[in-house]
Amino acid sequence: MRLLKNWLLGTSGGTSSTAMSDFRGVAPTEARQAAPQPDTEAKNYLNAEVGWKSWLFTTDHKRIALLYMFSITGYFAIGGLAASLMRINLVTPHSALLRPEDYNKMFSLHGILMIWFFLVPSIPTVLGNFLIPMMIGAKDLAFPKLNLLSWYLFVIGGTVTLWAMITGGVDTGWTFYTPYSTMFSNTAVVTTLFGVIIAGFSSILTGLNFIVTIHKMRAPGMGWFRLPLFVWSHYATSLILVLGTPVLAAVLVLVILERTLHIGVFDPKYNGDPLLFQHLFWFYSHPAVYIMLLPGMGIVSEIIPCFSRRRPFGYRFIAYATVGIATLSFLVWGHHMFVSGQSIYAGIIFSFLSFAVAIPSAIKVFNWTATLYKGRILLDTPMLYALGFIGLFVVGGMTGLFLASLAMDVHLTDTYFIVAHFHYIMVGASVSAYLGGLHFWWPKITGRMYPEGWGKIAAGLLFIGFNLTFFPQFLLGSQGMPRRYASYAPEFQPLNILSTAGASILGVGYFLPLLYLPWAAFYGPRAGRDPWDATGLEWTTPSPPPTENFPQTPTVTEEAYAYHAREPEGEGRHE
Amino acid sequence: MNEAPSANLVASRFNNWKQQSETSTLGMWTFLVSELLFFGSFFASYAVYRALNPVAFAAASSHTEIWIGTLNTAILLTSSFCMALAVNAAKQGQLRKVSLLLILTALLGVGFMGLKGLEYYHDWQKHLVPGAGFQFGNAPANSGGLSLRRQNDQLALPPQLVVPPGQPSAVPDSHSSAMTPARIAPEQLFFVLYFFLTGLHALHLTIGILSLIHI
Amino acid sequence: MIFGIPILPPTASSGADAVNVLFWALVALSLGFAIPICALIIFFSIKYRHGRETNRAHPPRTNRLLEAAWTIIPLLIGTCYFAWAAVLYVGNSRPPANSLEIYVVGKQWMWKVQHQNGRREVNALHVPLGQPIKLIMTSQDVIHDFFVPAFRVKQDVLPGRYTTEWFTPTREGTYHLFCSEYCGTYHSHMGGWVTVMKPRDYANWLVSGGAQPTMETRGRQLFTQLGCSGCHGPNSNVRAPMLNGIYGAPVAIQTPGNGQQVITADEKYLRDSILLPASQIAAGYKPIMPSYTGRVNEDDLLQIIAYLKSLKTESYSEGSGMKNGADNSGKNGDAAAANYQRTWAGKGQ
Repeated sequence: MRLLKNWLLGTSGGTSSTAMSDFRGVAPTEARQAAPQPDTEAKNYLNAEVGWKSWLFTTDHKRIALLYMFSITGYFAIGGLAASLMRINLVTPHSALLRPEDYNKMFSLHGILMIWFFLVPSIPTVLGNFLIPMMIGAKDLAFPKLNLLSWYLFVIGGTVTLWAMITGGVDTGWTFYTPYSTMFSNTAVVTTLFGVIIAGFSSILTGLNFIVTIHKMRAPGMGWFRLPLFVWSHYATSLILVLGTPVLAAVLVLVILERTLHIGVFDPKYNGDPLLFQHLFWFYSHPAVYIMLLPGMGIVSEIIPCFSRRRPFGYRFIAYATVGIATLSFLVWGHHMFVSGQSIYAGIIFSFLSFAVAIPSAIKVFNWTATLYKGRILLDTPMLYALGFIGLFVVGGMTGLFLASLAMDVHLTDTYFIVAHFHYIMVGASVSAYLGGLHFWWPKITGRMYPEGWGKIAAGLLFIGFNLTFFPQFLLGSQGMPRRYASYAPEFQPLNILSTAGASILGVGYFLPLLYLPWAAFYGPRAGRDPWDATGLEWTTPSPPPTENFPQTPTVTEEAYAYHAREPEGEGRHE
Repeated sequence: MNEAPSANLVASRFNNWKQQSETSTLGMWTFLVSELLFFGSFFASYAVYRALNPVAFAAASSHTEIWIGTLNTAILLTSSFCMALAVNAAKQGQLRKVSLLLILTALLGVGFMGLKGLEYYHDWQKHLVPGAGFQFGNAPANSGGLSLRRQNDQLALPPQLVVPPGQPSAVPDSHSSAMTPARIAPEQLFFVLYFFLTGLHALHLTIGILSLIHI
Repeated sequence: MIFGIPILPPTASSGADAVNVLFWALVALSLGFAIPICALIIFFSIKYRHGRETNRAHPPRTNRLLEAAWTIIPLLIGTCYFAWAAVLYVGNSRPPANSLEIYVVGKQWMWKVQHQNGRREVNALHVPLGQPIKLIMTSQDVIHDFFVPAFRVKQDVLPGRYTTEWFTPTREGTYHLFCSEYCGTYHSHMGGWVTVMKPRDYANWLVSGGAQPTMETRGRQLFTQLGCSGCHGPNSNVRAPMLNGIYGAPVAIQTPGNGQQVITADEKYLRDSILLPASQIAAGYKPIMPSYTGRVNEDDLLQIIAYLKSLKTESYSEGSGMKNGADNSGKNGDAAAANYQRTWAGKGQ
């Protein structure tokens, strides 16, 4: 009991506060538990300038990251509210709370906000924006003004979309399948599409900025295979953003034209083909899953080495797997369409490629697990999130194989099995990684530590709540309950009640960090430069960092994860 | 190679002029790749429908003005060439030459837009603009070979075949009254894609010309 | 059911058992992957936790052999599963030749079903036990999806084209029918029940709905009313293709540049030839047929196609005759049912 309490409060075991070796010529890092610090803060990016103008017109990537963080948290809250209403509605089979049209608007709102305004931007625009320049030793992104423009486009897109939701809502689902979206829905489809397209351009600009930054702004000595895996995964993500999003923009423009001018590209009446929409839509939207997932994998690849005190096992293989996933992700879109009426030969090819894309994901899981071997493992909050990520990702990934299997997919597609599967990947795994990353870098972002006990409680609640919410949905789906149903057959009720009960726990798990992280930003103990004794350039600069990130451009002389050099016993030498 | 300009032109986040110029070049290329995918998806749609309706698309494309298209291609290439010359001149610091070439580029762009407008006007006169006024097949140019007349209900039906539409269904089903969709000829789809793609291109060109004038 | 938790729906079609086996094999694969990973993570977290003395000497940096093993072994296993599922899928994609054809039209928000003897039903489907059933489906508006969990079949139903789905019911009972492609406000109401009956009961059920023309008879009426027989009939003086035996036969159609292409006259071909005659012109004929778009609805189109499919090569005169048309349609329905009973009722016992 006492052990548990100590562990929760993060006081037991202590961290290696001894024998810190010098790291890249920087003074020894502070001990993890906040060595006493002068109370006056040095000049940093937070206090360098004051006033709202200094935020709204900033070109500092760190400030823009915070702007993004506030906006996506808002969208997440609204999308989460919609999800709560849906889950409450599904407690009874006959839709006691919402009318069917309102239920349909709720899941559309939930999907559109969560995907385009939370999950796609979450890790890249907040943590990526903040960390990529620092990790590669640059003063800023390649195009800071473009970065600010991205944020404005994102907020404008979000406002337009929310405006559409308030003034009539949209009931097409986030997939906008034609001809329902073009000819039959009586809701604010066009306004919503405008919002999504604007947000899409924001994504393209962000991706472009990252690609150019990673290519051209690396500090001297920072070779490609010295890059942290976080940067690798953002590079792959950016490729998808730049190559995939224009296709989404194009197809949504066609939907708008079809809906307003009846041009007939997707309408059988005019010789159009409704399946063409699905092909173009999934050409973006399948890779988009990896936009949400790869950055999360990047975070996990940072956290696990740090809290195992080891360099990641098979660094290069993880990096190759990252790029491999990004490439293959463009070749599997047809697996969303096995029952749509596309040819069976197309189905066979897409099925095989979908199995193939599972391989690099499996490689990563094996490598992360092997990193723990002979490590010195600390189960702090970020590590709990990271290990939770692996668990949820394994479940989500393995159920993905059910859906890649042609004959099995026929039964399972468009049921709750799909809903459970992609929530495991995109919400369970990705959001765990995002929260893990926020906790990990919170001391860097704000200069202060979050409360460790609360962090562990929240991470535990999230993991338990998530599984209770979504595992029953696998069973609902395999029994054949279709998705997007406001009311359902009575035999599905017990599992739906279980799912809603789990969702309330999950809700608490999400809500806690919303309370204690902002509190910690002001009242937490000071963190110091490197509270985790972590490697990586971002930890060599003060917390919070100065506006120009580094007093002088660092020169990199070793690999990203030199944890072995810090092992006190000296026996931690890698072979 | 170009000489390095004075240090105050280099933004503080860059170490030197070379890094800055390489960065902007790479940014431009990345943007172009993104544009390629954007247009590519429209071209893909066009290709799909052309493959589905080969006859109609071939016939419809024969109604576009070849000479305008050819001339415009030449204008675009010349204009790109002027732009490239301007870049070259800029590297050599010949500012006067640069501004002349840029103006020429913009003028050629305006010329392209003018010809495109003329072409649109011709299409409008020939009722080839999609919408209620769309008509295809009355033009005599298409009389040879396979006739692809749009099959109207009123058109060339043998009199004994004209039956009042919507015969009451013999079975008691109130929901069967909806007709099969009245299909519109695939030729219209060609012109839809044609106008949309050229229009989108015109929009891009306008942005280009405006930014040139701005410079 | 495992420990009282339901996992799969009832199994009631010939193809469903194989899908069940695949399902449990995938479950086994998932557990075989997930349990060792989780066990290792927990084991390492305990054994190598901070502050515990243990052998940490020479932690490996990487291991090419290991990397190759965990790349190739999953790839091989994955390929096996892929092939298994694909073979099953391809095998399930072709309906047997002796399938009973039933026509389905989806619309917001109901399923309209019509049996060959003309009997209609809404949001319900009655099928005989042990008989392969082929559904020929289209939509009047948006995309729907005909999903019967107990049969493990699901197929999108698209406007402007026909899709098919087939199954052989193997267990009597009543099973859920769902629309599983989101189709608008009352999407969740667009469902009903599939009833699997003994063949004899099915035959009785078919004729219990009162006298109505068979689809074939109704199609023949429409064929005359719409003027099709004026050109495609035997006494026509217009040069148009004869349609006896057309269904399933190879047809040469013209391609641009005086080429030819041979395609099979399936439901899609017949549909397009009626609605878009100019798109597929039979070789050797002039494109003089008018389009019937806007003049025939989806239901009637299905009747005409059912009629065209009934035209056997040798039976043309009977098929095109108008003497035994509408007047005795009720009798015709009975005859079809009786015929059906002769064929299948004995088999089911």
